[in-house]
Amino acid sequence: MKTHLTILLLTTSVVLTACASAPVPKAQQTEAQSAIAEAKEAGAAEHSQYELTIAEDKIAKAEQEINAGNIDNARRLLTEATTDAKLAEAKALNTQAQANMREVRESINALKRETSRNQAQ
Amino acid sequence: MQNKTLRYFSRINFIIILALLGACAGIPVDENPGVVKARQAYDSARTNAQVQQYAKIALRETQKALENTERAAAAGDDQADVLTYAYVTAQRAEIAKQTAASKAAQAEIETSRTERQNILLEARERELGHARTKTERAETQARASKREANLARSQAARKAREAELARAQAAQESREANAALARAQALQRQVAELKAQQTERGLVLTLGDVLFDYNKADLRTGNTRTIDKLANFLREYPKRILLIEGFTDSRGSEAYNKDLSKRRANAVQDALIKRGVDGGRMSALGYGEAYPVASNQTDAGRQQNRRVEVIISDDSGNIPSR
Repeated sequence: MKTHLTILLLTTSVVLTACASAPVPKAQQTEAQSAIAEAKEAGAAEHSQYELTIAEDKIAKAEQEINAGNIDNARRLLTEATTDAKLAEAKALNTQAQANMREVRESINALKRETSRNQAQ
Repeated sequence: MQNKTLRYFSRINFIIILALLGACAGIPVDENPGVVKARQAYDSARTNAQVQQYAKIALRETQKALENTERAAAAGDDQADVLTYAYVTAQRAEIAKQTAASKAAQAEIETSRTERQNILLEARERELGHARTKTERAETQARASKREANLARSQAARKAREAELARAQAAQESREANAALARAQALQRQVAELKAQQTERGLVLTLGDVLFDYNKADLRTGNTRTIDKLANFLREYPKRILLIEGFTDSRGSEAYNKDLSKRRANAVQDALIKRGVDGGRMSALGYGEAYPVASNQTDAGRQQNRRVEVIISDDSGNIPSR
């Protein structure tokens, strides 16, 4: 009888644990933070501030959720924040690449104009 | 009783488990809005040409995110989790597009670098071409200038030579002129010394009768200074020849006088031959009492008529005849 009760309680708790991961997602927090840092290093603060702000907001909100004991919400927010930060990084890099490309195109055109003018002389 | 209770609890337990599982599961996978959203996001990345070319890894990440979404939906996970995976898929798809665009831009920058180098290279080659043409033109000009300079130099040298020649000629002429002047002066001096007279026939030297004794044709010895001077003069001017003419006064017969005048002229000629003058340069004539230079009525006049005239030719050897 006692053993049966014990098994029952254990089973219940196992099923409950399966849905609600109780421990604080420290690793995810770290991952999200380092993604933010990488994005900033890529120039996100300047070139993709919108995505960066969203990511930072989500990290802050995840902190609140952890404090409130809503670990699952925090985990999801952190997952999203990480990809937001990665998108911020990719977008920052792309914005700069496009600017560089435009600059190179203009310089090539200027060069072409100049050499053709020289040729004309 | 205890068994009953246990069975009851077991049933409750089973129901709780079912309920919990049900809460996690829900809508069929294909209709799950999260899955639909994730598939749309993945497809938009997969069909993007730039993504296919430049962002294969990012596309695979998107695919993994989609699979996570589908797995979560199929496993009946919390819909919030499914939606989070779907969100991640959409972000991954966007990351793939951004990455692809970025890499395409970098590729174009690389291409442009080559293009720029080609343009610069062509420009430089053109400039080199211009420079070569310019250099060639400059060299041609330099050669032309050098030729002109050489020409000018040789002309200058020729002019200098000509000037030198002209100077030399002038000097020569001046020397010759000086010499001629000297000769003329010397001649004048000697003529003056001979006491010869310039007449239309040339220089005429009159040897008075003081050279001869009366009725004699021999030159008086010791009074031959005039003859010596004449011989010297003829040595100095070898082109000149002499005409020696003898004259008498009117006393005595004409034939005798003619003979006497001829002999006296011959005597002068002989005296000159003795002093080294070539006989071929002289001719002696006797005119007797012809061509008197003074009256034969007085002694003084007769004395003047008794004479030998030596006519000295010019440098061409001409003597106009009487």
